[in-house]
Amino acid sequence: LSSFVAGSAWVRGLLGWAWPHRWLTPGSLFPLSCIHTSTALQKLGKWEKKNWIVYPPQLPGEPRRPAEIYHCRREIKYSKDKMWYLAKLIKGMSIDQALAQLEFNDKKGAKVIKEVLLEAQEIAVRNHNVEFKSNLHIAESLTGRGRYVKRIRYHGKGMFGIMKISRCHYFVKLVEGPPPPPEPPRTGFDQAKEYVQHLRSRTLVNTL
Amino acid sequence: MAVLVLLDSPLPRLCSLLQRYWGRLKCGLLPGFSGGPSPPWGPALAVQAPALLPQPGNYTSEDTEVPSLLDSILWMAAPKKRRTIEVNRCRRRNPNKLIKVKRNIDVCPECGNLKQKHVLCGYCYAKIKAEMQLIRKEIGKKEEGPFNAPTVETVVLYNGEKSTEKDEGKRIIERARKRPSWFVRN
Repeated sequence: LSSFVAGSAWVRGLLGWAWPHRWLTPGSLFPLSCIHTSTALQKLGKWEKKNWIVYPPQLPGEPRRPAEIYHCRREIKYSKDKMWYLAKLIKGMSIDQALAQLEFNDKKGAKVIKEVLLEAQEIAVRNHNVEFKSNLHIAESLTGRGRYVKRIRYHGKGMFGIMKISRCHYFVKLVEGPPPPPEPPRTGFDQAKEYVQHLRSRTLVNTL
Repeated sequence: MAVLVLLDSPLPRLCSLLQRYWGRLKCGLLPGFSGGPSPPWGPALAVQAPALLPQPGNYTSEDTEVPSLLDSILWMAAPKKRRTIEVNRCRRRNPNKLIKVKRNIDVCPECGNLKQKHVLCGYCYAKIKAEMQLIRKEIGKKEEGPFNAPTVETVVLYNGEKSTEKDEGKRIIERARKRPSWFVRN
């Protein structure tokens, strides 16, 4: 009951700020009737707002622009460095392959990322007009640092250490279509060619 | 008698004097050298070491002395310079530290979930485990207490199944559901 009263007071506050006049409205995603939305309560990050961009309609001759879905999860109780290894694993894979790899990985972050990917797939099919849920690939997958909290760790003989409890964010961008072919690794020959090219492109300055 | 004594006494004094001069000559000192008490001779070390050389008198005491913490600090391993972020990145992102892509994932032919090639399908295993738990509960209800396991075989019968001649003398457990496809009746 008390939470409902608080919610209604908060909604009145929102109306007082002239909610429809915001320059970047999410369209029909946040109707005024629903009060208990978690995204509207916290401050929206840049990654969440990337889903709101609307492109102008495409001309008849243009190739179809593939759908892009941005999804993230904030304040995961895990280290950002350890999460980075999982993010690096699934970069550039198709979503099915990524889910398969994460299912048989023993790390704590694998379970979290799998949930995030399934949520993103669901959102893609529901809101972003994606026809086949398997026709997605992971274009970007990043980790970020969350809010750290300092705590005391008790040692023997009255000594103590200050430990930091770390949290991380995980961001993923799904793009419709098959995954791009992996680029061949840069060999020494390529590096040598580039070096020679750089030498040849030098010009003489302040001369005739 | 008195003449003999007088003759004997200078001899040992002369002998000792001769021995001293012989010793000094052996060291390389000339009789004319007036060095007095010379410093202890040892092979001159070309290596920089703590200036204290163990004296012949002090040698035994230093053996039993335990090296204190202040001494051992000089020889403990410690990083010389801060590892730069570039060096740290090279170590953390080395391919041997990255997670390897698993190539032994297949699809289970029974349920369609993913499974590793050398491991049982997790979904199917969980399904069988749940059913076995219920059968064990039924067995527990029949036995009514611990240490009552009979010495005969057990047969599980599902809905609409009757015991045959082969099941004579065996303990029968009833389960009120349709027989699952994976539990084949012998």
